[in-house]
Amino acid sequence: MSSIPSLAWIPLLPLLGALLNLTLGRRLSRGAVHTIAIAAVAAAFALCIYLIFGIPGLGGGDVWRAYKAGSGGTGIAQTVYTWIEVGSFKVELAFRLDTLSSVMVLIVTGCSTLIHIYSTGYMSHEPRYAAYFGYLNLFTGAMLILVLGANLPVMFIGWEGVGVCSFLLIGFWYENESYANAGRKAFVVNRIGDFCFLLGMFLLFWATKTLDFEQLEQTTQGAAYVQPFWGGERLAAAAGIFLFIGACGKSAQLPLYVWLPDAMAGPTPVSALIHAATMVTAGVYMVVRLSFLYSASTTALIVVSTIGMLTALAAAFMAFAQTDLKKVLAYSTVSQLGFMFVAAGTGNWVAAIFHLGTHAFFKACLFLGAGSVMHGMEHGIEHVGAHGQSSGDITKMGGLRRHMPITRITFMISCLAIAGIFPFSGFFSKDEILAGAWTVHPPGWPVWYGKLLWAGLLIAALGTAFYMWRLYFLVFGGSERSDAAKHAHESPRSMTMPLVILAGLATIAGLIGFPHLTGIKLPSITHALSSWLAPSVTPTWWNPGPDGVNAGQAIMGHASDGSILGLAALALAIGGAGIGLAWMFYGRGPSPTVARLTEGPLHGAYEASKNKLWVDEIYEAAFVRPFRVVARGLYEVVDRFLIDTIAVNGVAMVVSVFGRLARWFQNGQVQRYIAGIVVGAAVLFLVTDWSEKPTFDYEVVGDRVHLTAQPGAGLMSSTSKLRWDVDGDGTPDIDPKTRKPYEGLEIDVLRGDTGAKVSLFIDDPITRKTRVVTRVLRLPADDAAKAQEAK
Amino acid sequence: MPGSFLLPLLIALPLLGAILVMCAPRTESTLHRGLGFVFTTVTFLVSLLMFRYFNVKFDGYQLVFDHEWIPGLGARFKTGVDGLSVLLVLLTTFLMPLTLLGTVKSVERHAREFMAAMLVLEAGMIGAFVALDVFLFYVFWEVMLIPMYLLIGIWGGQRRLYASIKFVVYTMVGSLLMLVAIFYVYVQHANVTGTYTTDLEALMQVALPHGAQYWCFAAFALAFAIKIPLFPVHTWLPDAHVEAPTAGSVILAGVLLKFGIYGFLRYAMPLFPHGAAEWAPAIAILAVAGIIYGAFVAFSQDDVKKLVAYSSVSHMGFCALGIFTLTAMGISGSIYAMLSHGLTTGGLFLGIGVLYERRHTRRMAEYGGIWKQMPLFAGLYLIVVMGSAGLPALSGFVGEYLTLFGTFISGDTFPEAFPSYLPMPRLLGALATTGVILGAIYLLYMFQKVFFGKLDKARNGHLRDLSGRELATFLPLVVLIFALGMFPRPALQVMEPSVQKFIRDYHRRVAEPDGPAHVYGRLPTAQAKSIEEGLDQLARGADRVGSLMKPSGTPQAGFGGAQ
Repeated sequence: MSSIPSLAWIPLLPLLGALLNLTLGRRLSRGAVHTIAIAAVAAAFALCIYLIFGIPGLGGGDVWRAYKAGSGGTGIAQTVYTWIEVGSFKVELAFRLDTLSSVMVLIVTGCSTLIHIYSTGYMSHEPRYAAYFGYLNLFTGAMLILVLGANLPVMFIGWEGVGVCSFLLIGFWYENESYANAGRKAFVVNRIGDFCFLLGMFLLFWATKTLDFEQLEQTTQGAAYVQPFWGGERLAAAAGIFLFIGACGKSAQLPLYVWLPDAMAGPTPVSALIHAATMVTAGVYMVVRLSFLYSASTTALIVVSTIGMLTALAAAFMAFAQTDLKKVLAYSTVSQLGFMFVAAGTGNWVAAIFHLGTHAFFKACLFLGAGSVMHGMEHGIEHVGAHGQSSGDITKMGGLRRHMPITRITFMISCLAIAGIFPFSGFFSKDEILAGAWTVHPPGWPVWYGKLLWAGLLIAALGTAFYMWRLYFLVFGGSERSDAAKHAHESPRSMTMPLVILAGLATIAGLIGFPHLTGIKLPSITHALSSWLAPSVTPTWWNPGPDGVNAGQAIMGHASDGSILGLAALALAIGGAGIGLAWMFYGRGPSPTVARLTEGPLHGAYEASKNKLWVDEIYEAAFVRPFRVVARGLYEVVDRFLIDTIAVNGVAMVVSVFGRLARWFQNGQVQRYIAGIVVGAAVLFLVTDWSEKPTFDYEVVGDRVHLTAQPGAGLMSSTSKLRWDVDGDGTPDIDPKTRKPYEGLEIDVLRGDTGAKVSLFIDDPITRKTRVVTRVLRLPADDAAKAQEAK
Repeated sequence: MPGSFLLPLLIALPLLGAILVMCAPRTESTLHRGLGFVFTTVTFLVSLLMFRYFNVKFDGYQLVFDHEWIPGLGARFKTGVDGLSVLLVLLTTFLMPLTLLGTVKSVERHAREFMAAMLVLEAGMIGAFVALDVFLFYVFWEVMLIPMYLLIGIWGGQRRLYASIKFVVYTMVGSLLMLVAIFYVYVQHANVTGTYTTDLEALMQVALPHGAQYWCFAAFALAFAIKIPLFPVHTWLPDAHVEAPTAGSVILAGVLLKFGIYGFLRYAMPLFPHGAAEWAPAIAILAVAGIIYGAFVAFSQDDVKKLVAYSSVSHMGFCALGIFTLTAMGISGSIYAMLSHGLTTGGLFLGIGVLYERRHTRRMAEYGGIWKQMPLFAGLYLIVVMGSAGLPALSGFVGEYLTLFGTFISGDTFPEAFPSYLPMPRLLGALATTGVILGAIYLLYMFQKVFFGKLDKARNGHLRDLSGRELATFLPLVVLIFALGMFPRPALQVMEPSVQKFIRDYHRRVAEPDGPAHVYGRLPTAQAKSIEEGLDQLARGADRVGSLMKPSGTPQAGFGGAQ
């Protein structure tokens, strides 16, 4: 297997683990199952460390060397084999570990290893243990393909792969109908995003003829980004927005976020890994990965940042009134992802990845802590026999600080981090995003746009601190609000150990991303992240067009030390204010003020938040139900009625009616045949007779008028006698020259012999009736003569 | 040509099997099944031999067998394969033994006749894929119809008579018009060249007038569109599928539908390039409409088989769209999507057969929670479902992705004479891409209804998981679905030269100016005509001069007079 390049082993190891556990897992012991799964992921983590930094004594560290040599944007690139090749279209199964993807693989494999370990405790009573670890490994493998993919199609393999694992893990307890529905909802909503992702990919290939990230970034291909595409916008805007909608699906942004809160149906470690730390950040990663594309279009970036801000606000609002522990965390995830997209949308790529990383630590820690709390509560519920009580209902908790000390401490650290309190990691990453929004000034846009983003985020940050600390106080603060809570107990070491590690990371991760101050010289470690990522992202506007006014201008604005520190202080104050508010209302359990407010002046807002702004109901009415109706309608109306009944069976019926008629006629009786002949002949004559009315034409030929009878078709025409009255006296006339009556189909009359009217007498020999047709002749010479007389 | 014996052998083997099966005593049903399985397996193994002789770099017909057949008509028994057909032949021979293995138990009445019908069907299908003579193709095309009619009509469900007659009449309407068009081409070819033949390569030498191409293509297209089936002439398919026994459904969806697409590629488009260009917008729009429509209608079904049947309408829409893009990606993708559709939809129907044998119902409402009872089956079926939904790294993705890509970029490759060959290709591509969403909706809906939820119906509580035999039918399918998704390149390489040749030939043919029927490249132009007339006059004048100047009694004739 030496022919498989080293990078391919990173996703391959977890995939092999998944293969083993999914095929043979049912025959293996629990110990063997989780040993395989954890070993596979941990080995992938070790391999990442080895490839990026090297392990003393073993060598490695290629990415580090590349970074030092100034080619950190290329890193290691390896092709496993050519995946698809048709004509000039070629997709290599290629991976690339540059400085950006190495940050991601470390987060993914690191979190994944911890969550695998945690799962051994949390899922210990699960009958489908092997399937669970199989899916978890499969997910990790797919996520690593997503991150490492060196071109869009390979990224798309991972992109869809994590979607399937998400579907399987949300619906892991498939016997519960609503869980299964949640899984399906997640997959379908993601597919809506993927549809746009595909369109974006098609557009890019159509314009540049390549899908490889490195080639896409080259200027020669990049020239295509500025070509006008639609409504004067650049191609980069269209492709970027399509791809971003794909990211909205995966990273739960407006309007496609609706699947994520429902995704909490999955086991809690899954929520921590997939729906908080890794998979949902794939969209952010993708936008940063394509920073060169987005930097070619202001429009695309503005769409990204606006959607991000709106999502951050809306999700924070919806989190206020949730009573389910995991639902609060879910909305908080949606909101924090919104922060990351604002960072990406303001060209603040480093801050987006920074917040992605710190969020992965503190949110994974929060989810695992939530799992630990629910685990403890379940024990309590069982102990007191309060069956039917939900283990995630925060109104039934309280006072857990006494029963679950480790969980409480780690949870508190993470809450401090997410609220943006110095010196926890969330403070630094959130501050970077806020400062970036404050200073950004997209060309052609008013200067207050960045301030608007900043203000929106600041409100969202206030909300975040409030609802997170509301959660904290309701769970751990005050006294127990149910018997079950009194009997909750701390979780086993396999669960608390990952909590402690994650809390530690959530505390110190901020170190590598201090703000850049001009006045104070900080050690280089404090800017490690931005200098590490710099080779992989585009810091300047891409505008090689003829109007290259902004060419090379930095996307991010600059701020003075004073404003940086001021903004940081303001953000800190806002975080503190949120915590203070939460303390006021929930510090010792829900205070009576809360009930007074929610039933009084804030009732409307409270209901709106509790019902998640009725978005699910609106979607149900606007999309889901019409979809069903249209599907049913198409089937019943178009398929069954129009095509089958009318067209197909209709034709068949016409044929069969004729068949029956023919059968009735052709019964072998001569009488019936003769009757048929007679009736048929009669019909034939009648029809032809009716068809024309008798008349005649006239034509002037020299000094004569030529009359032509048209006595009609059929029986009458052939046997009737035709006589003419040419002088208009009402009786048939005689030709004065030949002394014969005017008779027959055609006659010639001297002009002098004609009167004003001419009549044709048709004698029918059978009925002995005569029909008369009379016409007034208008001869041209007469008109001329009359005209002369008038003069 | 080396290996020329192989294709006639492939047609003969199943026929021989059918004869042997019919000779066996009526009561020995195990013997019938055994014979059927052995003969289809041997046919598959022999078909693998094709690759011993098949040159992947060569773009023309290979393994050609050419023998006189009906001399009076000029019809020849000519068979051969190229990159367009060789994999489809392989798909046929691969699916047959699997189908028989998977459905051994499902047929109890007239097992002997059932086997014979299946074997004759296989011979017909292989013959229609390898025929290189239009008349031979037509014969095999109709030969396929009879066993399928019997399969539905005898071994089918409750409304089998309605379904089988609908199937036959629908198909006949199309194919009779095609026969008329074949005769027209045949006579035109004879008028131009003086030889009567139905050899495809010979017929392709003659360019027909634009108007004739328009109508001939329409006649062929109707036959093929019904087979694909293209919206709105698809309504025979759900009925046929619902009533057909499992084996019939698998072969119907897995192989028979492919003849529609294959017919366009092999006959309709090369013979009538102008007609194809005229009709391309209509067919492409119908294909896209079918993708969306089929998916919508599939969603509203409660009968699993009907759902999968309508999903075929949706999936085959991608194939139909792909070939009219005239891009290598579109056409290769279309063939690839056919291979994948054969495997995935075949697998879906086999799975429904597995359930039906146990529960004797196809209503999804009757199932639910089956995962708990049949975890192995559920897992394998999920892979098949995901393959059908076009998940990357599984087979369905490659084909659909390539056809969509082909559609998206097709604007650059339209024939010069038809600048608006496809209207708004990118919009068409985008609309077709919605199939990605819709496919997930109805397939996951089906999967959830059957496998998820509580196992709350008492009769589902005793279902056995897959038997060894059933596992043996599913495993090869699943492995191939993975292999085709992960390693599509070898199959694409087999198609590539022929696909490129197809496109080159099409562009050459469609560039031929309109005129009376003539051999390609030899259009009697106005100038050529006038020169001809001038020569005639000269000759006549010379004759007259010659006769005037006749000094002696020596006979004089011809141009110049002197001899």
